[in-house]
Amino acid sequence: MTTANGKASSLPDSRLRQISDGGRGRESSVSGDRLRSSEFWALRDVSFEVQRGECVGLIGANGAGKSTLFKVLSGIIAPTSGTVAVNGRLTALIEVGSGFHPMLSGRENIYISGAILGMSKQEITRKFDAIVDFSGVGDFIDMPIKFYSSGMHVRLGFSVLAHLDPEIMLIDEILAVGDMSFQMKCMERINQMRAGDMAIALVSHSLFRIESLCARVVWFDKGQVKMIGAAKDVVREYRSFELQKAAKASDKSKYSRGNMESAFVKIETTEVLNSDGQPCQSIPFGDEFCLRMQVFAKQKLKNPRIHLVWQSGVVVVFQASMLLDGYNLGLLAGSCSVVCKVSAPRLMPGIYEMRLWIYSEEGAIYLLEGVLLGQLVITADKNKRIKANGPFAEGLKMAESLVHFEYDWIVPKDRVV
Amino acid sequence: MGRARFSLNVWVLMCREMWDCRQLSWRLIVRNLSGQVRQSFLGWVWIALPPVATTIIFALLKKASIVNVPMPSESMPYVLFVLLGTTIWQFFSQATIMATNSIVNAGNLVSKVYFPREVLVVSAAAGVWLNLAIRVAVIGLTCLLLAYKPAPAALLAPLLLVPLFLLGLGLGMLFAPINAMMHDMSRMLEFAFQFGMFLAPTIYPTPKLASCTTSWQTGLYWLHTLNPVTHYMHAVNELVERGSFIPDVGLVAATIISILIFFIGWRFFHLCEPLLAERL
Repeated sequence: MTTANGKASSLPDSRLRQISDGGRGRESSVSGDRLRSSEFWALRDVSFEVQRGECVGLIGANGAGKSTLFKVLSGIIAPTSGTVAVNGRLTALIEVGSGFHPMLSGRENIYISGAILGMSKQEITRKFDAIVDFSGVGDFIDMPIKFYSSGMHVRLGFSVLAHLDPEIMLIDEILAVGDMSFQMKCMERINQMRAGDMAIALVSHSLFRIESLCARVVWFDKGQVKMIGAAKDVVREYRSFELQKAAKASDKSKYSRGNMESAFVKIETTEVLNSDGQPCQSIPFGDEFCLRMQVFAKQKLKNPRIHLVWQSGVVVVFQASMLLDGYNLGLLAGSCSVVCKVSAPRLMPGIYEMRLWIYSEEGAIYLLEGVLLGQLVITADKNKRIKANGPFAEGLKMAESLVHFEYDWIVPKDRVV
Repeated sequence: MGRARFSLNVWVLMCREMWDCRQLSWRLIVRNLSGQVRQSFLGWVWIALPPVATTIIFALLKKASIVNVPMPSESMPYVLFVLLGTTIWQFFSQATIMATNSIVNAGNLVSKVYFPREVLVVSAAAGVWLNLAIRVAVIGLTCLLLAYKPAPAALLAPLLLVPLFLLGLGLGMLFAPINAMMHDMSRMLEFAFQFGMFLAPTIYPTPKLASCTTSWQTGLYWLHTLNPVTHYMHAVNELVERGSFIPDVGLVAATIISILIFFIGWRFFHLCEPLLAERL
């Protein structure tokens, strides 16, 4: 059985080419370009090529159209307009265990799933041992798969897929299956395929995987190609774009300046200042910044102490506290400007919440309890403070950890290998 | 790919697709059957039961003189008549309903993997042949119990049902894409089949036109005649009774219509195929 080429071989010319407009099926025409009120373009003007021996990554937020694209490429959905040209046997790994029947044994299900995916009986029989071996289900192979653990189920499904030997492979986020050792096996298998003459397109939300496996990356946004190019560049741009989008979204919703006062004090304004002393939304990695607050005392307060905290989720990443360093504001009456200057921050790019407490001098009671001041957005490492030459540099540089320190590796040179 | 205009190439392509998928179809048939049987304790019994239950009820109603069914004097026992009728009717209705539901039932598969979708419809409908085999055994057993000796040629009756199967499959291919969009389709069909059964010689024979005394009877005669399944039932009954049948105009017409509907359904399904995944 031919998989996608049966459908899409109207252009004998080759390769994957020019895919646009998933939506309603049928060839392009003027009327086909009009949408009914409830419809939208899942994909629009998407056009790229994948060559033999190439691995291309597809990234984008949920609903960007990546899976729709795969469905169009594999022939599950016909494009409303535009063409797909496929030269070679194509397999889309959108789901594992396609066609499995819970009452039937693993053996029977290998034959069923294999047949659905386009293998002949002879081919399955030939590869049967390898499939069972790869899946690691062992003696369970003759047991109905409803008795399998979910891991075994998925492993068996993936093993069938892994033995298809297609020339073009579309992989949609299914590598996150099975335990560690099985995942290693899958990666090994994909590397084997990559080394061969196969064209691979990979969808993953793990940018780590994308950057380390793919040379070229296509970034989808709202059904359109936002950027296409070398993996490192696209991943970097994508990360900072997502970060900014998240910052904007959270700024609008929950960070409206709420109740920042108590019976004793009121925080009138807060702002983040960059290294030039200008108020701004975000700070590049490693740059010094200031947090400036206008504190208004409703009654005379003697030596109040400020406790500031930066947190990511529930994790407190950093604190600047007068309870720790012994500083205090002296006699506070009326309005007063307080600046906290952080001179060598090591916060990784990301969004951090800032909270503030004001304590009495001895620290026993608080005058203001844990108010949210707003958020600090740390953006990409513009000044190249982080050494970044590794295989996943661009992805790791953005947000895999919360803090970064300078470090060196010390490895004895005369070790025996 | 999608022009409605007749062209030979399309049919060649459709036939080739169907042929290429023969292994897959067979796999799915076996899968459906063994899955179905292994999932229930009584497996085969459930397949045999529906016509038997209908037969018992109507035989009881007739014996108790609550319904009065005029049977021609020389004909087979009433029990056998009902059993044959319901078996054939359900053979047809199940083929249609299973084919109609096949796409919706395999929704997950349809939206995740590409393969010619005809396979799903054909393999779902083909399940009725196994049901038929089991029911034929029940009919044989009934003949033994009634000490009724059918003509040996009756064993050829299943061949007569091949066009009827094609009719069911063709209707299924017409309805399956519609059912994928509006699930009411299968409800509607079930409803139609439930009542259509009474407009065919399942529980009472078709009234003879010559002996029709009222216009009601004449009307019933014509309703029977317009129902294509009627003609298959007549032929099978004659085959069981006499070992031969006369292919009258009705049977020939029914066969031609069945085959025509099969091809129309197949073509329609093939046209709808690219839309199935997104419309589910």
